[in-house]
Amino acid sequence: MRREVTKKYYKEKAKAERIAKKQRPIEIAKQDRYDLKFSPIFSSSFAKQDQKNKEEPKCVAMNLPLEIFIKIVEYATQETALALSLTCQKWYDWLTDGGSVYIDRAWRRSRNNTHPYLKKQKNGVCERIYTIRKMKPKPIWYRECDMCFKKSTTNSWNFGNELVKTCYNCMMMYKVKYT
Amino acid sequence: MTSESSEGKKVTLKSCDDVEFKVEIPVASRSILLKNMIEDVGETDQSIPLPNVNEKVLKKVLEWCQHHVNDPQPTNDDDDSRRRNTEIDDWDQRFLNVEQDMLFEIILAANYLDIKPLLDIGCKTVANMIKGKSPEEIRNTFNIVNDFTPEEEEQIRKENEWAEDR
Repeated sequence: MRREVTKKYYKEKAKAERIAKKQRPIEIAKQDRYDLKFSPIFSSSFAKQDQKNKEEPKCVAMNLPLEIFIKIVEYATQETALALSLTCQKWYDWLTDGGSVYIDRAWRRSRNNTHPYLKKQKNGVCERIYTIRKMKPKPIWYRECDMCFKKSTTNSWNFGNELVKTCYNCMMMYKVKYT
Repeated sequence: MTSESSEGKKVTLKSCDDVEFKVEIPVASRSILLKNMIEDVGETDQSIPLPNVNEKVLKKVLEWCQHHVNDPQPTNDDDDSRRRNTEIDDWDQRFLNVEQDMLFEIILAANYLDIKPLLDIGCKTVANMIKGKSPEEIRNTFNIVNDFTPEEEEQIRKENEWAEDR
C-alpha cells in the first residue's frame, strides 16, 4: 500500500513537472534560446566532438573575427558590403547589428568609398538603410521582382499609379487579371 | 628603444610549430606586440613564443617586416587616410599574391602581432578580391555554404525592400 502511494506521488510529480515545462513563460523560453545561441553546450562525448570538428567550415574567411571583417567592409564598396550581408547568416547578423557603432561606421565608410561627397543621413536613420536607399543603380544581382521577390529580369510597368518592376510572369498575371 | 641603438642586435621568435627565427630587433619591432615585449623584457637570450603563428606564416610576415623595416610607424592620425586609400603598392601586391588560406592566415597573424599596415593591405586585398561580386560569387570565391533557407532569403529581401528609394 505504502509503495503504491509513493509510486503515485512520484508519477504525479513528474507529470506536474512536464506540464510546468510546457507552460514556461515566454521570457524564460526566450532566455533559454539566447543562452543556447551564445553559450553552446559542450558535449563530453568524443564521438560528437569529432563530428562537430568535421562540421566546422573549411573556409578560413568564415573564421575571421568581427574586427577584421569590419576592416574588410570598410575598404569595400557599398555594393560589396550589401553582397557580404547577403552571403551567409553569420555575416548577415554582423552587418545588420544596428546597435553597433563599428558596424555603422563600416557601412558609412563603404558608402564613402563609392560616393565620398554624399550628404550625411538624417538623425535616426540607420547607416545600412541609408546606404541601400542611396545605392543607385542597384547592383544587377540585387534586381528582383517587386511582386514575387524572386531574382529575374525585370520589366517596368504601371500598376495603378505606381511604377513597378516585376518579372514577366507577374506582369502578365496582373495584366490579364485587371485588363 | 630606438632602431639605431638596437641595430645588429637580434631577438629569437618561436613559431607554434617550434621553429626559431633570429631577427634583428628593428625588423621584429614592426610588430607592436613584439616591440612592447622587447621593451618590457629587455635583452634576453630566451626565444619569444608565438603560439598563434606557424612557421610558414611567420616567415612570410618577417619577410614583409624586413622589406618595410625603414617605413615610419603608423600613427592613429593615419588611420582615416589609409582607409580612404585603397591602393596597394606593387611589392605588397606581389607579396600578397598567395593562396587564399595563406592570405587569411597572414591577416590573422598581422592582427595578432599588431602590424597595422600589413593588416590594412591584407584587408584591402580581400576587399579588392570581392569587388563587384554578387553574394553567390562571394560564396564561390571563399567556399562558403549558403545557410539561408529560401524563406529567410525572401524575408531579408522584404526587409531591405522598404529601404528602396523608388
